[in-house]
Amino acid sequence: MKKVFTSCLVFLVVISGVSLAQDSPKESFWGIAVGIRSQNFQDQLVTQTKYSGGLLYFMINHEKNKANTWRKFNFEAGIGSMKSKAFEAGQVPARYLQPSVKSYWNEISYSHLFQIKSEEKSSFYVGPGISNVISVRYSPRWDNSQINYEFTGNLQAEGRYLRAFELWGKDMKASFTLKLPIVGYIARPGYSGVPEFLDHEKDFGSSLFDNTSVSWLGNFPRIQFDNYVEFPIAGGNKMQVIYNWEYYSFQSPVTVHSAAHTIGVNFLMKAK
Amino acid sequence: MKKFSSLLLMLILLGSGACENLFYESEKQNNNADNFDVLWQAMKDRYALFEYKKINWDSIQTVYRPLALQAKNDQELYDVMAEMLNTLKDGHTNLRTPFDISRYLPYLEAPANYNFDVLERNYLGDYRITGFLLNQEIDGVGYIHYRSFATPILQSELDFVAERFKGLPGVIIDIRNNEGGNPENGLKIAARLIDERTKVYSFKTKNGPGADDYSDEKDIYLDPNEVNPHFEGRIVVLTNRKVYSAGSYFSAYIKGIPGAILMGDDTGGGCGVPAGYDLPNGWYFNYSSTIGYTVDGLNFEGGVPVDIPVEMTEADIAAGRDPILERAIEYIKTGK
Repeated sequence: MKKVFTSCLVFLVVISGVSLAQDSPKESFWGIAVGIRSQNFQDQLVTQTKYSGGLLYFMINHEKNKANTWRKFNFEAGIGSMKSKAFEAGQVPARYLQPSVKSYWNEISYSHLFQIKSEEKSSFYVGPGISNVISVRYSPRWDNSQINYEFTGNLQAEGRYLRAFELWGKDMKASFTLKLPIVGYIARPGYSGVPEFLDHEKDFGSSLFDNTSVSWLGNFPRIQFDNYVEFPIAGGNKMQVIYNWEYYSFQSPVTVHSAAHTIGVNFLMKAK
Repeated sequence: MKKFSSLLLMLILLGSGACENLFYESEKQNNNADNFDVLWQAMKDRYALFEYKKINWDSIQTVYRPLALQAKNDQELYDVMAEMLNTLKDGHTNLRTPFDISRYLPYLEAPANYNFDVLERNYLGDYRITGFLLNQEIDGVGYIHYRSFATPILQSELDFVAERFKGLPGVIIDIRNNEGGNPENGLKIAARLIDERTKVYSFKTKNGPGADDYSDEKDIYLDPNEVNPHFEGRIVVLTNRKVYSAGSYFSAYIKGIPGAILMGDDTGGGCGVPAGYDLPNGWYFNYSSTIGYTVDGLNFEGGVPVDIPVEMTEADIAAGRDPILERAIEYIKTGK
């Protein structure tokens, strides 16, 4: 715990130092993105098998660029189904529940990054971000443990490399962002994966948070790479082709792994 | 700088494309050994009732693993695994495959103690069907027949039945052959049988892989329904060995309710809340993850014992008699 708070403190001191040099607002954009999120997971609460599948991806975001800062708000969601290798469509009676799960994933995040280095065509940013993730998987195969989930909220450290280049006569930008969690919370089902419905006086919603613990990089290794290539389109608007990758793992009450690749297109309309 | 950024980009793309596989646990294979081992190990870590059943799961492995390895096809593998699970004699522990579901049926070892045909022809007359509650006044006593806790009960339906039986010396709640469903339905009835906050049962949950990894035992209380009409007089709940799961939970509540008794045969048990798990070949199974206790501390996995045992023989059925119902009527009228 000491480590967590020390890391937090150091991080916030560094950030507050960097944030002294700021400039007047430059431009802001509202974006809407669609894409495919290829997700997989392996949660030993209910399975030792890896499930994977494609989720329909959707994002609304807002980004604001100043001379020395870059702020971004994302609301992302994905919905779809995942299957294990043993899934055999149509080869078994329909009444049998195939190894398939319905999955809903949602992340709300806000990043506030500060430019620490700028060269002719490239610049580096670092700063804090916060995020809240809801990842729910549902499969009636798992009886009363049919709702399988992680809820996690984190303060995270982020670093971004921005590179300008020219392609087909157009000015393009490539952005690579790495995010790592520093401290937060994570809620997972209990060991049997069953919400405590035997206690009828307990609210179902609150029972989902019974197994909540402090998360930090040491026990919740979450790595996110958010990348895009951006190019201008008509009217000062722009378009981004995005590729994001993330992986996380948590050991309580047993090991869960989850990873996702997201490919999409984000249309950004100039707001200011 | 150009080299650095190209290298960084390559590292990110290569890393993100493949790295996650390094972090994942290696997947179990779809072969007899891995399928058996996942089932056996998950049960060892998670099953809540080994101590109660007095089962040494390690010795079970010694017996059944060689048989599983010898299985020549899915049916043979299923047969071995199902037989292994049935050593637990637990109706909440089932292996589910596309071609069969393993099961343990405690009631097959006991007399039926129930025949609806006898009830309908000789006792119920022109009964009312209020939602899923069959109800009738029989010989001056209220009678409710509830076939499945999986079918919901509305408060308005209970209002109707409670009002109908107002002024009678008592009510029989017949849950024979009720194999369970949602325990909440039982709580709705029970809340109309008590006048003050009452402890109705307790439970604990397996919360780790160790043999002694259980949560603290938690007492569960029920508040009386203070809005709607109650069932009055003596309460007799009729049970038999086919009463299972939520049916046994309801019977456990009755053990904690003053003025209410159980009659007939002990219930079939099923106190463990079933949780689920996958096998590598796509099959899945459920297992008991909790232990339930009556108010007097009895683990009711083997059944909730009745207060007054009464049998219904084949001769009774042939004669069109239901001695369990008749004894309940007598008890309500006389208190003996």
